[in-house]
Amino acid sequence: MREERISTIGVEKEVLVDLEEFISEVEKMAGRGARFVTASCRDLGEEGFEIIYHFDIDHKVENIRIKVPKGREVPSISPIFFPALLIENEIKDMFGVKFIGMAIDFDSKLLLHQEAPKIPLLKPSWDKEPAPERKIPPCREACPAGIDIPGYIRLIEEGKYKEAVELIRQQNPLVAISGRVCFAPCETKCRQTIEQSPLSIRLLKRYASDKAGFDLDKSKKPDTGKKVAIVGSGPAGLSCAFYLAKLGHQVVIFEALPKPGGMLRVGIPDYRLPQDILEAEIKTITDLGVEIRCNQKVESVDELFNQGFNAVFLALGAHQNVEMGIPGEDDEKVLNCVTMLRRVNLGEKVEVGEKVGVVGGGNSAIDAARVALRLGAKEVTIFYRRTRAEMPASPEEVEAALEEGIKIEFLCAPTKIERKGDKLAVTNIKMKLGEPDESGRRRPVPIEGSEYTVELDNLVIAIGQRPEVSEKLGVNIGRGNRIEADAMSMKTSRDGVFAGGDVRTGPASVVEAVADGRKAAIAIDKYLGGDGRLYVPEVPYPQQFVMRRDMKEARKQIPRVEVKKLDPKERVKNFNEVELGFTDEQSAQETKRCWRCDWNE
Amino acid sequence: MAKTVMPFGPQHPVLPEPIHLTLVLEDDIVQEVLPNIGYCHRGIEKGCERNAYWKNPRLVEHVCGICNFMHAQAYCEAVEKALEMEVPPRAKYLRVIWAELNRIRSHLLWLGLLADAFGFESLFMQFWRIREKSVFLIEKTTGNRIIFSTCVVGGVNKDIPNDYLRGEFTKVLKEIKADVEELLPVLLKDPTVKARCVGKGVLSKEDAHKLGAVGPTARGSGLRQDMRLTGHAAYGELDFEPVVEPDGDSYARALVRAKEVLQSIELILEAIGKIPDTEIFIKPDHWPEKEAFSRIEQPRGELIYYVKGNGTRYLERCKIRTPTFANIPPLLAMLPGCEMADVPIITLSIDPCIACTER
Repeated sequence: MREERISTIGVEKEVLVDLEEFISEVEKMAGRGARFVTASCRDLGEEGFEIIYHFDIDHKVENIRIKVPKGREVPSISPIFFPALLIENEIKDMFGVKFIGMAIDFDSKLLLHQEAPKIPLLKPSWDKEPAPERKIPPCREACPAGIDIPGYIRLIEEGKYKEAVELIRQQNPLVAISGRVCFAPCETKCRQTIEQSPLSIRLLKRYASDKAGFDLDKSKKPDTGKKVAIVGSGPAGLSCAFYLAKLGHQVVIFEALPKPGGMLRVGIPDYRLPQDILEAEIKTITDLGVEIRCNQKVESVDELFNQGFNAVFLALGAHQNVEMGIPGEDDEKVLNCVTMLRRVNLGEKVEVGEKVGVVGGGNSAIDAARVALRLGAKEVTIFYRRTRAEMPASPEEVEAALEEGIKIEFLCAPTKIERKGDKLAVTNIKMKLGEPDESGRRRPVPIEGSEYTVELDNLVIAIGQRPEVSEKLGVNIGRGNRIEADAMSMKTSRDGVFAGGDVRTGPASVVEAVADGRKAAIAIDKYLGGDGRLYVPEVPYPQQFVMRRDMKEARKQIPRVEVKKLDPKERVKNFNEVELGFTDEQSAQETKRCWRCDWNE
Repeated sequence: MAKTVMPFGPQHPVLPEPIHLTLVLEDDIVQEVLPNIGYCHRGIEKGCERNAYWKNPRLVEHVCGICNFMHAQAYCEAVEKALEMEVPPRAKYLRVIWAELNRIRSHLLWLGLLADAFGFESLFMQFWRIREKSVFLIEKTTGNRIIFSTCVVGGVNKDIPNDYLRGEFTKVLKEIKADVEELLPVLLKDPTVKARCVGKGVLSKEDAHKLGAVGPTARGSGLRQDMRLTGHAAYGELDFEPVVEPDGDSYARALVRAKEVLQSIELILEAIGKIPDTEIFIKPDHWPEKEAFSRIEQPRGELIYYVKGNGTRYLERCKIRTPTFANIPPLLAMLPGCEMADVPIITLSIDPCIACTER
């Protein structure tokens, strides 16, 4: 068989010949004065090998192509073209093709060595594409806890809600809670934002948790006999307790307040996080054998070590209100945001007048304003010293507050509070924005002589919180009353004492505290002699693969689903949960918008 | 006298890279040579099958440090042929400019190494001082000193502004030219250098053709063989005639490289004069399905890429044939008959790049 056909681009002439005619074809080439260039071999798997010999005649390439069945010997061309001996030896080493009559046989020592195993270096190429690999997508990168977001969205899409929740619990044990209160940094990084609005990642998490319920995996490792004390039952403490209990350590949480949950309990109002959800989520952790001792304020770490604990995790939170430092602030009509929210959440009675003002621009200021509305205030105004663009509160919360009829006055701050009978006269000064400060936001500068007075029944101060840490703990305390701890290992200055959550970072978010708790669990396990590998159930990830370019165009078209909320006029009368969560159809539509950026294409 | 078997390498002061030659000596005269490579096989050909095809230029550039741009260029030209696409003219000219800059850097490095092999330390440093100017130009235009990382499938990813090309770039090139012209007589007219090179390691024109010599090794033996004559990239539009020396000894090969430095400078200056103003990159609109073969002239000779696509973003096969691999059989013919003391210089005279050879 001899066939002339050019299938390689960039080649002048090409012949496909049988093994029998091969040598005569090479001799013809030698007769024309060709120069041997090289040979390319390809392993075709079952079909054998394909070897292409390239020759050069006056700067033009001509090919001779042969197919060799597996196990057949190829006649060497090195007696005709001496330089071919190197490539023939290389093909022999790389592919295991046998040649007969080579000018010099290096005996598999050209590329391989005496010591090296005599196996072919180049195995057959993949006929289809290699299995795609997963990588960290932008949303997962943005998540402080590093939750596998496209993974659980995919599981929800397939209706595997329990598996989805278990996948989230590998990184974050508070699924139902973060499905309601997380400020979702992942959504800002969602690549769907390029085309339209991002995925509702947080609400999908809540949907999975609602569907899966709280009867979750309770497996854990056998008892190790080590005892860990966790001070504070907030998100950091709970997440640390969850992972340590799974590893078989005995965990006791000490809580100063009468009910567990920390800021989840006393900082987040019920209309965002219902108490029964919180109870149920905490129960999934206590079910693992974690003991929570309420009404026990821990003053000293030594006491805990004396009680037989091997390690201590301090997750005290940031429960002290920052004061403004203006005259009249200690008036009884001036409320403290942390205390007010705590009393409301613990079921104590708090009375507010008709006109309430709130100072501050963070999430707690918005919470205080919305709580005041629910406590019976008729008119609530938020005073913030910068503009809406600089507000640290999450835009969704601000939007919800505006819907409920809360007014926000920008570029103003109180300078003086006076008592006038039953009412407060608050003197405000107007501000303008100046140069950016170290946080990158523009600094407010007071405009002189622009003071004006507002008459209010109550004023709530919500300009920030800071941790309340006593010196007796014996750990280094840094700026802003925070405990100094390593950001990766949560180690404090004292051996065996770890700290994380708001007490380390200053007031931050639930998900950051959860991430701190998880990191602390790893560090504590290592400290107690473990290998630092958390015990989490394996979740089979669906391997079926769809190319992004095949589905992206269709997925771009689907709009974001708006979640149903209670009517603003009705919801301000009670503390019922505002967001109603996704229905089955809504979640089905929302999961179909994910681009699956986690596949490396 | 009985035969002595002498190992040369894999660690030898002249060659920083590992190649092992088993020399069979009689008295002090080499009788037989057997090469053994494989000390730094990295499986890059296999690696090319694992990457999406557009990521491979970054990988094949690491086949060899001193001629990395050419590797990326040859790979890209092969894949572009398999994609049946045409690169914008400006990209072609920029590829020529960078490739020739790469050649200048490589040849100056080699001339320095040659001086160093004689123990001519000061000349070695002088050549590397000039080489530093070419590295400066590479850093100015690509941002990197060694690995260019500018060649991509479909064109180039960086542009050089015309006023820079005609300003500082031309100025420094002319400085390099003046420096090289000043230094070359020192190397080539030196009696010691001549004593070590002239008539040593002779490769006749017939042998060079029969043994498949490429690059300066072939041209030093009188073969008019240069892949730039095929007119790939923008070479077809440039006035160019390869440097050919008929003698076939180590001195002729050194002379070819020395003259090629000056020729490359002329080529770049000509390319700067003719460079058109077009875009520099066209995004490939599909994935390679065909087979393609490309060859370009590297500082050491003919570099070959054979690629086969299969309609996915992965290549089914990427075969790299580097010039040193082709120059080893001629080396085996040059060495017999020479003295043991000449083996290092003759080995150096083919400018061996073992990292290339083994991939």
